[in-house]
Amino acid sequence: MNDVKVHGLKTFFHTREGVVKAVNDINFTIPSGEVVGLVGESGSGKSVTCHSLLQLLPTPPAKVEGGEIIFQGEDLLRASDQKMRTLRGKSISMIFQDPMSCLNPYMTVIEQVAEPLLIHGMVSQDKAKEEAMDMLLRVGVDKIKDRMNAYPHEFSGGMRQRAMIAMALITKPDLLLADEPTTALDVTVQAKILKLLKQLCAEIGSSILFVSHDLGVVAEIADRVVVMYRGKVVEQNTTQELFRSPTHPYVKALIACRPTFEGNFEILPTVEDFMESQSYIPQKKKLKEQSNPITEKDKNWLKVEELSVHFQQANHGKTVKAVDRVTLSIPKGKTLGIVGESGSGKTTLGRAILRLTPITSGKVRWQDQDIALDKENGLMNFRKKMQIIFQDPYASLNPRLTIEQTLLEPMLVHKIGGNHKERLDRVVSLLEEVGLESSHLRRYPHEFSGGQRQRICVARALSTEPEFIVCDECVSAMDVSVQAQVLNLLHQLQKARNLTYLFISHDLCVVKHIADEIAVMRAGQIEEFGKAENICLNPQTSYTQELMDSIPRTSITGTF
Amino acid sequence: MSEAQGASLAKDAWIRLRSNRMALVSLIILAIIVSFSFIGPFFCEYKYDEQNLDEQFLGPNQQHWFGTDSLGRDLFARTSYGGRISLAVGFLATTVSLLIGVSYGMVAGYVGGKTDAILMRIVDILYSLPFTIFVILLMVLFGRNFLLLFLAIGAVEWLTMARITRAQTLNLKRAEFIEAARALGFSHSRILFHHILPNLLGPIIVYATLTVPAVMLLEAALSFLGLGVQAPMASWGSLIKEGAEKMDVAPWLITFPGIFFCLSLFCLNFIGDGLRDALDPKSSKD
Amino acid sequence: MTRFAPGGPFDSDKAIPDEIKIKLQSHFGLNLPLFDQYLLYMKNLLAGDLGPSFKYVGWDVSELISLAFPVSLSLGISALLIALLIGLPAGMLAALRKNTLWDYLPMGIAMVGVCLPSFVLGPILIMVFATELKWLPALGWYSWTDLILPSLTLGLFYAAYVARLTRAGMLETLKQDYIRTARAKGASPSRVILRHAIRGGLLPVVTYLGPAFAGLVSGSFIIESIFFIPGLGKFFVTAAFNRDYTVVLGTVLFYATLIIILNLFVDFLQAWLDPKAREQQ
Repeated sequence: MNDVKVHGLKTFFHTREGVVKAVNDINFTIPSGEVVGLVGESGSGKSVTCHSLLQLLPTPPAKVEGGEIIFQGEDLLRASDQKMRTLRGKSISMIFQDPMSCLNPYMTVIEQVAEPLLIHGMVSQDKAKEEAMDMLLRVGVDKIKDRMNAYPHEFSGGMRQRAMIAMALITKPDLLLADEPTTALDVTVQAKILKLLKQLCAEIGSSILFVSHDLGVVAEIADRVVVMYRGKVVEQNTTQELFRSPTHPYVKALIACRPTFEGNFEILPTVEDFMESQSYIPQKKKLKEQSNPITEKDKNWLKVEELSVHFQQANHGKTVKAVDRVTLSIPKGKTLGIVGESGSGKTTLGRAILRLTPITSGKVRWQDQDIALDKENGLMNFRKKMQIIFQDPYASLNPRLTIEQTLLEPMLVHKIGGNHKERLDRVVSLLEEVGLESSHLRRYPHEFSGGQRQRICVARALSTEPEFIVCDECVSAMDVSVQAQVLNLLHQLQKARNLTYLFISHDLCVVKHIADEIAVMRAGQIEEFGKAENICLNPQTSYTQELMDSIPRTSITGTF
Repeated sequence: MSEAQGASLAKDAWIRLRSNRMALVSLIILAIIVSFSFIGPFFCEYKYDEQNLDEQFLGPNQQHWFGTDSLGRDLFARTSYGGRISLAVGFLATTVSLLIGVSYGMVAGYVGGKTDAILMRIVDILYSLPFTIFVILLMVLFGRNFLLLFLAIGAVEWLTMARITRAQTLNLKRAEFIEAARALGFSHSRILFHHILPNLLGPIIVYATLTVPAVMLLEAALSFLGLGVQAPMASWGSLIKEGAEKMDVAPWLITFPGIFFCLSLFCLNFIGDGLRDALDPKSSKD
Repeated sequence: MTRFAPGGPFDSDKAIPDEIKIKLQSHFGLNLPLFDQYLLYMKNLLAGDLGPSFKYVGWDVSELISLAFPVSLSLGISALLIALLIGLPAGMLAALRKNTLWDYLPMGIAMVGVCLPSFVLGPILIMVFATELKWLPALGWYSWTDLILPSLTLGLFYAAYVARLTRAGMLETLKQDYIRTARAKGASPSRVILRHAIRGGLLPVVTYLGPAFAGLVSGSFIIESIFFIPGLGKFFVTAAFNRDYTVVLGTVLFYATLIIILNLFVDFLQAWLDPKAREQQ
């Protein structure tokens, strides 16, 4: 049998702060020819497991402390360096997350794809190049004849990942390790890559260990799923069984707290809910109560008319129409979701509405005032009323300011609160509102987790008492469990303060969950705009349809 | 407010610096050299320009700890005095380069676009010129003048400072917390001085520490060519020059200033490297 | 510009009779208005004529440069060779054997090298190899052995700097994801370094070559005056002291052209190494 057996694997990191048990005694099997999904949130040890298989971890600090990995009758953990080198790239190949940084920028793509064949002395120089071209054709890199001498930076992200796959599969390995291979890609590209990967491996007869944080993606590709949590395997089963009847509360939570396309909950269940009580059953969503009808005045509360943002490209002098004559309106107290792939102009649109990016032409009417043309210093009042929350909570807090300073400063600038005492009280109540404690005041951002930081960012946005908040991919970088908490927080705040959101995301599920209306963007223009339900259930354009079809669906197999 | 943020930065850095033994030893040695240069004269009964033609070329002895030179001047007094000049030039010129470089780099990085392109192109051009030529020309044009000397050196050394500051400012400007500050309606000056500058401090301090030895080296080189400080004044550079000329007669003349000079450069470089590791754990060292 | 400086080339120690002074001045065209002097100079410059020297009577600046520059050039080239031949391997070794004796030893020496200025190192080398051991000649410029000590003095500083840059560059490159990819392909350590890491690792060194050329020029001033070498640097410094305008100006122009050519060369080298830079050009 050519099964790969991982038995009692322990990989620890010896750092200055102490020993981190990244992988602590795990067991699983990769049956020959099957796809095994290894799922977990950040820090669960899934990537470390994957790298341990090929012994690619930097030692020190990493050290394999015990266990065995049986591959073709041999224990990989006790194999010599020499032996490992003959396996790497020949019998066991690997694909990494970021195709940008994982290809050598100083070598042509063909050279790199052909290299495994040469390293293992499988064919001659010329033959290797030929095979590399064949392989690149098979993975769908188009116009390869014209790209004989192309370097990685001349390829798009999707094409680079295809080249990585070609490089990994050119030696027809028995096992392919794929470490988050589609995380950096757009959904439509992701769908294509997943299909390609599965098909090619079936042809070659390779097994796959597919590592991902995304249960949906794993459900799409894997035959079996192994779920890791804090260095341990908490559950493993066939994909169907795991989604149909998860047993471990963490796995239950992971499946439930991810907003799904069918959108079941108004308030998302969180991991804590499941972990605290074994018998927790998430509440089904009530039908959205028909809130008091929107008055005509509130309906066009924020109106964007024919808005365009053009950039001049630095080296070519070409004009890029990042946002091209976009017309939108957002009613007061509602959420407009903007969905689009990278480069669609969705982020630029959000920034242009806030006047963080210069507007080329068009109007932004805010309560019937056009704010698109105001001078910078005339904007002060709008700045106060319109805020933004960013994607990366690590980069969006000044590392040199305490939380207290961060939250006090906007109030000082906008002269909110009469004196220091009053402002401080407001800061404390803001912190409590976003679920933090007043004891956190004196701390610096680096002392908080990602989720907590995003809460601080929310508190800062609220500090000027805004009416409108742009959420720019504000949950995209988070683990699903944290994402659920932040989404719930945003939902509560909207209800309590009657806030209006512009929610920008590449993730249609998340947008569908939070938004009342959705605008689909593509190449700077609005592809489709309408009620969330309508867009999702009955897409009008082929692009929206493709976007829908590309979304990995967990709920098809699941009970939720 | 600034006290608290300074405290956190300094405390973090100090803890990491303390664990770097080389940097710590360097710090102590440098402190000794600095105090030798500034307190030294009180322990010496001779003045740096006091000539005594009866006592030419005396080796180190009880009376003259470091010996005497061709005019019978006490080398201990002269080395101490030269240290004061060399260190003063080092620190003053670094301050000048810091002021020019940081403001230039911050403007280029923050304003960006065409302004940035033009400003940095100028730096690029100046950077590839051999600066000793420039300084020599200046000295030739305006005569030899102590003030001019460190102004000239400072004006040369600001280029790298400007590059570093500009690159960091550019990075920071793209950081989301600066965008957030703009969205909150903060003024440009508040963003520059309150949000960008404090985050620049780390690299600035590191580079300033590394600039001091570079400046001292340049000053010494000029003095060695006879373009720096003039007799009877002395800097380590001019003392080394005198020493090199009389090397076969009186080797101690080059030994003492040479040791002090090289040791200071050594210490400053080690402290700079140590600070870089301490303030920027991501840096390429180890 | 140098013309505005106080003092003139003929205000020398000995008082020269006024009539001779006037005659000298008219010979060199110094009695013409400044603007005409400038026009005349530019006209001659375009014809490749840098004008006559004020101090070396009967010599043209171009002749002086063509005489002195080969001396400086041979010094510069041998110093650069020393810098690269010692610096690159030392830096690579240190990067590959990080945190071992093979890292600490070369890097310790490099630190000393960076801190030891040429005007200290020069006399030390003279003392050891010429005065004490009598292996090599100390001063002057007569045979090829005269080249050894000066180019060592000049080159060792750059060797130290190159070693530090190489180490940092290699370490940075070895941390990159694509190195991990190469290892995952089964590449041997030597293949990882020679085929994957070396280009990225050496890029900072190549970038540094520009400033290094400029530095070598400045360095030659000091070295040539320590070792009494009749190179261009020595001429320049002497001319600056003597306010020999045409020599100063001509040499500066010559240096500027040289530096521009060398920097162009560096740009090409960079483009050859880095495909992304190639595209921008």
